[in-house]
Amino acid sequence: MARVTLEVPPILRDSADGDSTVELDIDRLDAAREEIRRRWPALATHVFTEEGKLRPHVLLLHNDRLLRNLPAGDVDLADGDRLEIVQAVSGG
Amino acid sequence: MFLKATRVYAIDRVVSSEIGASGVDPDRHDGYGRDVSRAIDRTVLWVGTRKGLHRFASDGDRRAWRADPPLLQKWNVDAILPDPDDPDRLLVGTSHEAWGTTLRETADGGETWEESLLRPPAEEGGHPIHRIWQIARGPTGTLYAGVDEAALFESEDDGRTWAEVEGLSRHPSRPHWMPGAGGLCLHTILVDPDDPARMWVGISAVGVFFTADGGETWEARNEGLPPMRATGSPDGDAMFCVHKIALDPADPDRLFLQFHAHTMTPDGERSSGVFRSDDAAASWRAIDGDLPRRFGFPMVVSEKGELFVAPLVSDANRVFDEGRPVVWRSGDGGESWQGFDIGPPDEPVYSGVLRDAMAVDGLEPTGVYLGTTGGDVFASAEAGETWGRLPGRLPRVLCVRSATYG
Repeated sequence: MARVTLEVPPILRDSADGDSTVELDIDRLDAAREEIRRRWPALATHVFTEEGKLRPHVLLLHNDRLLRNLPAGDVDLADGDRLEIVQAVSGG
Repeated sequence: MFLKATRVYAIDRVVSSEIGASGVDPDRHDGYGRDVSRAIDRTVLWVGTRKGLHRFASDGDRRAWRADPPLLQKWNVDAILPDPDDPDRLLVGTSHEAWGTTLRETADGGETWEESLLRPPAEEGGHPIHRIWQIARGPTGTLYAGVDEAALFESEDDGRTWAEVEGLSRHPSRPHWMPGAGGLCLHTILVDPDDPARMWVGISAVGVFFTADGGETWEARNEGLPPMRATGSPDGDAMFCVHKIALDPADPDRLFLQFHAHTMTPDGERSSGVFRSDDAAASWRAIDGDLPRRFGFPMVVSEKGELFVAPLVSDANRVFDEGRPVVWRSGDGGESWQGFDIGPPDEPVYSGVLRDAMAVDGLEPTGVYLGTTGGDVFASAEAGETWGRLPGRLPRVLCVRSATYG
């Protein structure tokens, strides 16, 4: 199990107990969604659709690499990895 | 008869003209030398906007208003339910174009908020929830929330947990429900104050539904309304673009309805827009013969049965007619109407008003409040006969709710 950090944008920090960064103990990227749902249901609602996909204007970065969606278990995580939730630039 | 109203200038000369002022200066007086240090929270007006929640407070006279700093500024505030007993408690529905929607509750006047969900995230089988359109409280304390995509939720524990009212969601016409421009929204929830098992909901662009058994079974109640094919629904029983419904609290069999008022014939004949039912929505009849415009969204009824509407030009031009916002009042159930100018006398107002952006209070005379898509909030302390503008220009106003205390 790897300990990774998840960076939460300011607008959603109330949904993550006020924290700008939280820690997740997960070894695969697809476990992130379930862990977020379990620990911060409101945060999960803001980030994921009912189908479990990232919302259309939400992006997830893994160590600064943009992921279009959560791959199905194909990304191994290591201690110290960094995930970041950001709002896609939308509009003018 | 149309009346050109005089205006309540006192509201424009209000004490706390600077939005962002915090609290009331005890030495402050209004423009007429009156001490307004007691003007605290007797009357509270909550205004939900495209960016945040605004709170105005006044005394029972409602001539001088205090504007508090905005809250929840990053969020659309789509629905507001003030607590009837505690001015610091409030439940709101918030949304964001990227981040979706949740409920938020404060018990300290907005200093801190607790977020909650109508159902767990990513629950299997549920319709998506794009926005919370309406939050209502029944006479026994049950809370209700109406959402897009159209569904009704209820809570028996003051909002801690919610359950979907399946009887409505599984209505046989559901596969044929089509959205209006604002989405497939359940935007109105009315509960009989004398019999909480009787409820009505309004869904755009679908129609009115009624239950007499607390939500177990629902019946479409649209007889007398003009169906509109432009909803796209193939179901003739589910093509009624109801914009708002209001219940006469003194006579729960009497309801009023603001309809879409659509074009019906190639000659451009338009349907009626304002309707009344005297049989608990079993049938509707038009009451807008005297109104110059039939299209509109908001509709409110005071505790005394005064009915207020705020017509717009048409579905293709959702603004006040000729830059002149007018609220129309009927004291006889829509048999006759009086119109009152609400805007500044020397300045056109080329905006409109959304379906939940008008409210009344329970004071005497009735207070009437209207927020515009241009961010103005107009207020009347005289049942609509005179109006003033509350201080500040806000973002697009989405909803307005008033509450009185003490």
